[in-house]
Amino acid sequence: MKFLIGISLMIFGALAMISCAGHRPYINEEADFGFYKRVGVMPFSNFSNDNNATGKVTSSFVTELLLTNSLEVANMGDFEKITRAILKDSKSDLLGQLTSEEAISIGREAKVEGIFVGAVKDYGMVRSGQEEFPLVSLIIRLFDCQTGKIVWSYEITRKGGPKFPIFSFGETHTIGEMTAKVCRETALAFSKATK
Amino acid sequence: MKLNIIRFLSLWLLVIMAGCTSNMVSKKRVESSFPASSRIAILPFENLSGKEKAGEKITEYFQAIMTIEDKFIMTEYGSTHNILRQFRIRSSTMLTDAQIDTLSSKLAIDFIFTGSILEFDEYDNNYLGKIPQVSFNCRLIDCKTKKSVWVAVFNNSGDNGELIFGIGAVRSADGLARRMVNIAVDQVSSLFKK
Repeated sequence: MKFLIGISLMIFGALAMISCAGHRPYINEEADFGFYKRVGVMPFSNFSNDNNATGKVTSSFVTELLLTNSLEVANMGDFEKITRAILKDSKSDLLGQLTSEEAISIGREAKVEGIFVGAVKDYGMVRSGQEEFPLVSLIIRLFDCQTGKIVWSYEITRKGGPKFPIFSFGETHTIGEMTAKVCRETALAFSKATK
Repeated sequence: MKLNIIRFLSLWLLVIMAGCTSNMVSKKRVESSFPASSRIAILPFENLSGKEKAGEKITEYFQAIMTIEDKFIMTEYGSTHNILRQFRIRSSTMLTDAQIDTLSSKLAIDFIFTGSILEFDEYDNNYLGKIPQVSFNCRLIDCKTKKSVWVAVFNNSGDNGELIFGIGAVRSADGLARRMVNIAVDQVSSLFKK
């Protein structure tokens, strides 16, 4: 009997751990994260079906970065103006198309030490059993503006279903709340890397 | 028996309070309090919700509720709108330093208040009929430093405050938004000296 209870608890724990599992970020070991005091955020690319996803996620990510209070974020207006002047041909996917030279030039002009680029991979409601839950999936990278290299990368996917099977603990029902949670987790992961 | 009832009620109250407050996060990004009688202008909220007029509604709620506060002075929304049009400032969330300077000098303001609406909708529900969901972020920008000195994220759903059988649930997105704006304004107000 004790053995059965033990096994059930282990399965339950494993399931809970799977649903809470975070993604391991890529961190360039040569990078000095204490150096990043002011950063810029590029509007994220959109690979999802929601046309407004990029605006929502970029706005939410900037807010969450500011909430960590560990960084200064360049004014989006000035930053976009400088970016547009440097990236003459419009690029639809900055995550894969931004070159090292461009990152260095933008950094110099906008007076930022790092540039966040990202993409929204999934954004919407998905059916899970009888209910619909939000699904948000992002990939975010930080370019170092001195070397033009990627120094940090984080990939995250979260679905708003229950954290434990059967019980509805920790469910997230709204896409707005899920966006905030995903962006918060990403911003905190970066903040942790800088400490 | 009495003790048990009190314990049960306290626990229930705690759960309800947790449900009402867990979806709001705000951060003051500077140490000092802001001087009393500072002048604030609200810029139109960016509407990313896809719901028509959601931006205008939330901007109007903020303007109306903040005007009542006596810790700061609000500029007339008409004057702000006029300057935005005159200087062709189209986006409140993509402001440049030069635009902040223009707004500051023309409106004689110390702070700019703005934000983005991520969600403003009502969903069908078998028990409650409609469940509204509202999500927005907002920030207070210091015109001198051009930095965001306070930021906040608000997410809420109409059934969050439901006690039982729909009691306590909010049925409309407008009602829910108005409640959330009230809380946001309380927090902004606490940043300023009396």
